[in-house]
Amino acid sequence: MEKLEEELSKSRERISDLDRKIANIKGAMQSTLAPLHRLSKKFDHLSGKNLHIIIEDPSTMKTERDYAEFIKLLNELKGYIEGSKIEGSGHEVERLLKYDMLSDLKELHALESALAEERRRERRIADEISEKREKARRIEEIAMEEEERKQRISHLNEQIAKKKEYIESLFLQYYGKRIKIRIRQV
Amino acid sequence: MFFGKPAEEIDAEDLEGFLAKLFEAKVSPLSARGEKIANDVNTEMGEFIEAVEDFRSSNIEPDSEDLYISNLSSIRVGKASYANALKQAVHAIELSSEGTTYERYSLFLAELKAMIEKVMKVNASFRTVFFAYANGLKRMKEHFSRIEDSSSRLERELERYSGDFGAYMQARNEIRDFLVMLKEKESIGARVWLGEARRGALKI
Repeated sequence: MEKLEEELSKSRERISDLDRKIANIKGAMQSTLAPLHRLSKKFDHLSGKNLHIIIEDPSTMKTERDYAEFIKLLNELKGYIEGSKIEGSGHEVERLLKYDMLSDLKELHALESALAEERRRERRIADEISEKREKARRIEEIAMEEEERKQRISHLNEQIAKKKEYIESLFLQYYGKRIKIRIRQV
Repeated sequence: MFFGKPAEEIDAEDLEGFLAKLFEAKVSPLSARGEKIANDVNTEMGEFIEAVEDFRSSNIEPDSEDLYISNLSSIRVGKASYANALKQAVHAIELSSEGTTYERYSLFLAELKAMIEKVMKVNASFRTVFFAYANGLKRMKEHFSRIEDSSSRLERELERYSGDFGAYMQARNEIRDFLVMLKEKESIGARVWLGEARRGALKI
């Protein structure tokens, strides 16, 4: 039980560590993308595309293909700025195109998958502990019931012995009959 | 055992029957006397009903000399109603087949007393008829009086054994308590066995 509790505690530590790492990566990505928020919305309005969704939450990019699509959209945005279709500085777009977000995304997905696995493991250990606790509780309950029963039987044995003697004395007193009561053993 | 006979061994389950047997032996005179009284009561009861019937069908006239009776015809009508009410109040009493002799005769006496009480109530309800036909009711009164005597006799007989009956009841109640305890112990024993099975199932 102690070993399992130790395992559970370690698993929870790992989950907390993974949560923190994921939050850090997401935070870094979001702060990089934040300056493009307004421009991406304008771009989406003119082009009918959905760049701002990726800008708001880059973790929606699950594959390299998604990332290539994102780069393509950024280049299109750059073209819109250069062609003065959208008013703004192409500097932030340029900076983003040079930034290797793909390796951040890969790390994020790896961490997310590790987190999911760790959560499953944590649930498994917690279930096992709860099952063992329930079993221990039942064992204790049965032991208590048994103790109560033993006490009741011991009390009954005392009462039965007294009553038996008393009844035997009544037969002698009322009918002059000496009897011995035989009790069937169970 | 140095003195007296050795104790007789009795199974707990047979105690009540054994007690009843001893009690019946002790009160055996009651059985014979009680039977005689019960027979007397039922014979007198038959005679009483017959006397009531004779009274109902007789042409005897009410005696109005010593009484203030304003309407003789209503007394004459009341005669038949009185006789019918008496017949309804009186019936033969059967001795119960349940319980000890003492209990059966106690029950018989209780029924007899209730019946006497009913007859008294009928007499009270038909007070005027009762007095107006005093002469015509003589035979009926004699039988009723013998029924009352029998009731007193039976009461005295039962009183004679009331102490024995109290002792019997005390022993019987103790035996019943004792059997309840044995039963409880047996049922707890069965639960211990069940507990062991449950422990086994949990692989303790």
